[in-house]
Amino acid sequence: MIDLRIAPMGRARVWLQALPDCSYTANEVLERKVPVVGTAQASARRAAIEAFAPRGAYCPYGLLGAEFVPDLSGAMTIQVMISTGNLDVLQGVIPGTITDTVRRGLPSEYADSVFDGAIQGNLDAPLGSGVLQFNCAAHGEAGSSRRVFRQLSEVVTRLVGIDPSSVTMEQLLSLIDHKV
Amino acid sequence: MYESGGNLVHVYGQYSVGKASGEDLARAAVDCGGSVANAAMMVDGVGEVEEAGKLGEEGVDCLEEGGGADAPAPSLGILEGKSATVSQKGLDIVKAHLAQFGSFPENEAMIARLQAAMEAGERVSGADLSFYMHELAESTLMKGGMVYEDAHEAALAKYDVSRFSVYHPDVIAANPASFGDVWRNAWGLSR
Repeated sequence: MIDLRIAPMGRARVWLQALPDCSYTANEVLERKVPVVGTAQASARRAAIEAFAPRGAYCPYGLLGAEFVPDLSGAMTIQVMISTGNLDVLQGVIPGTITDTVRRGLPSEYADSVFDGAIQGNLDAPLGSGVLQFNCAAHGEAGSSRRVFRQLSEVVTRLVGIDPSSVTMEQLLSLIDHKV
Repeated sequence: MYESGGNLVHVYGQYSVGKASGEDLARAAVDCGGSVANAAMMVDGVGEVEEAGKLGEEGVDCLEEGGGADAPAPSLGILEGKSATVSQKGLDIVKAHLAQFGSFPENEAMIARLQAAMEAGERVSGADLSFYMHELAESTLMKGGMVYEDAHEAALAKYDVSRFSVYHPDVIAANPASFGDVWRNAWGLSR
């Protein structure tokens, strides 16, 4: 896990080739297929980001992670695991999120935003043929929004495509800063 | 520590006692009739937090009863049913405070609402008042060295307001991507 300060008073935590303990029961798995662009990754990849970005009267927050498994299907499949009902409060979040109540899971209201962000991220840095599954998420009752999850999804998709052995802190910051 | 009750004097008193300067008082942002003297009275008169309610009753009339209410609405705490005028000083403080976070349409829209009310000579209430008071308190606390997260919570607690009360429903409706359904539900807005 990499802890980052993001402008202008925000924080982010990034996981590369790992996911935080943020499992939840999915009530539904939504799926979209998009045209394949680029060459598939050679191996499975996973990544997640948790971000908190104060704006004064409220504090955008979200945690999102995904796993990409390449295949030879010739299609890029995006899956989003949706959770409903009374979700568990997540402990151990970014300290700044004391300003919010953070719960495990991804409410359905953010599903389209996750798809939109993933599609954009895949256009910017194609993952190729395979399944990109968003199966790790937490949301703030006050701080999460469609914008937050669209941006996180785009970043996660880019992070999944990064080779964790060669990425620099500067690359991570440029990917994340001003995105959340 | 963040007990509610009383009115504005309590709000400022909590962090001004013992160290309020003339400049601090001049920066007291709610227009209590337009005089710094009145603002000074607010702070000087506090002494102890326990006295705040009493002192508020005695003469601090920044927040008037009878402010308009947006219904349904999240809790406005001690700002419920109150209204206040927006001062240029107060608005400048709010603008400068929010500028450090960057420019965001939801904040710009709230500032525009305050600006419009000030220019029209109208008092603000409801979400406009909650936003205004929240940002003033948060600004002062952060200038005093408190980190954002603590200042944000303290500002909410100071007025005992819901965290969903600080943006006007029109602003929430106009910026749907920035607010989750919880915000819309709190204000009775449809998605």
